[in-house]
Amino acid sequence: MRILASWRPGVDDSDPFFAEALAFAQADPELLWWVEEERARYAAIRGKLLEIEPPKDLARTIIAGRPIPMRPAWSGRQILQLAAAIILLAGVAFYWLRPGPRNDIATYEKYLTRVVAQGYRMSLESNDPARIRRFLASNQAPADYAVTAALERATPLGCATLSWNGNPVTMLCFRDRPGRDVYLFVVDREAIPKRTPNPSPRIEQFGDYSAATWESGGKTYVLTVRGEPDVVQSYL
Amino acid sequence: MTPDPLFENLVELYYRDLYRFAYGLVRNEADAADLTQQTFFIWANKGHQIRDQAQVKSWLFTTLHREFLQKHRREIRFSHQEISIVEDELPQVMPDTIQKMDARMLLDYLGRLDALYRGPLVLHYLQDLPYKEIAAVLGVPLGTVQSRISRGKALLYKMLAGPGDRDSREGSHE
Repeated sequence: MRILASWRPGVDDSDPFFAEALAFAQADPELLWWVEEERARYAAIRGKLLEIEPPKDLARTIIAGRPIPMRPAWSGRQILQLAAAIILLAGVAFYWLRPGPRNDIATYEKYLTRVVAQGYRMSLESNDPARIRRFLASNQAPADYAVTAALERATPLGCATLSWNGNPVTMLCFRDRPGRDVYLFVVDREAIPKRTPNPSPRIEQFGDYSAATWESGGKTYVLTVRGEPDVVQSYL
Repeated sequence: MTPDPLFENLVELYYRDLYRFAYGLVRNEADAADLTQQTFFIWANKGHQIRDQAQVKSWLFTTLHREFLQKHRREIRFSHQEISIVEDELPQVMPDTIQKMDARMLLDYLGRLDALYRGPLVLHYLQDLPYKEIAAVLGVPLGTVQSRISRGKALLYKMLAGPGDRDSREGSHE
């Protein structure tokens, strides 16, 4: 019983530390009864904790309060050195500053990969493709997308809506096999002005993830999956 | 200010769970909101140092807990390391009793536990992290986490089974 006091039903069942105690309980009616009661107690307390909701404006307050890096206090000599550097680099800086550096396809791909790697919250969990489309359409996110043949065979898990420079982005989640989740992002082509028209998929690797990017029907698609480029290639 | 989609996504993803963890630790809305906001403030300044993006969630919980410890150092310093009487068996409390209880009342009971037990217990119930990461967040060995959960749960069940004197604090010298 002492071991099972820190057991989380449904989460730790396969952990060998708890599995042995749970198996032992199967042979002891009294202990088994306690396990079932404990399962109910755990669910009840967890449910109560999840009822606690943060203040409505907390997320907005946090985002608005994001700190801007402090400007360092410069000495007179440092200011002169900085001015000289600025003059020497003015031409290069002008070249760099002309295009919007944050709105190119590479930055967009990196952003999507980081969303997948950091974790995400599904807006809708559903295995029904039609329901997912209806949900996205009603939330002003791209819903007239085309899914690749390989993804048609995978199980839809749901979707999320993201934003890229004020443009809605659709995130579709699929499970191809246990432990293999595949993500398809769809955004209107005009949302990323700095791009090269790219009807054929272009594949890039970002750390542990690979991403394939292509354009079709006025949309820009990015397909992301954990693994080497040949893994993402298998879903195109 | 230039919008930062990654920061906004991170806030949207984790602020609820962090707030619940903070609420379980400090037991009031304003302090829990402050702790949550402070955690993301630190992330905005130092988050770029994290190379493994899979560790972000654990980093946020660790940072929040560290901030809690710093702000409540006095409370932690004078708390008991061990409770004198540990139940051999968890006291009986009917699930229905908990179901009928108001969420804030349950947190009120939880809040009467020593801070040593509150953190492990809240993380135990929130299911956000595997035990190894809970141990890392709290900065104690895995066995200590499990023993604190076991003892904290025994004390909590004891209170839930028979509230008795609601002004007394269990396992706490705050």
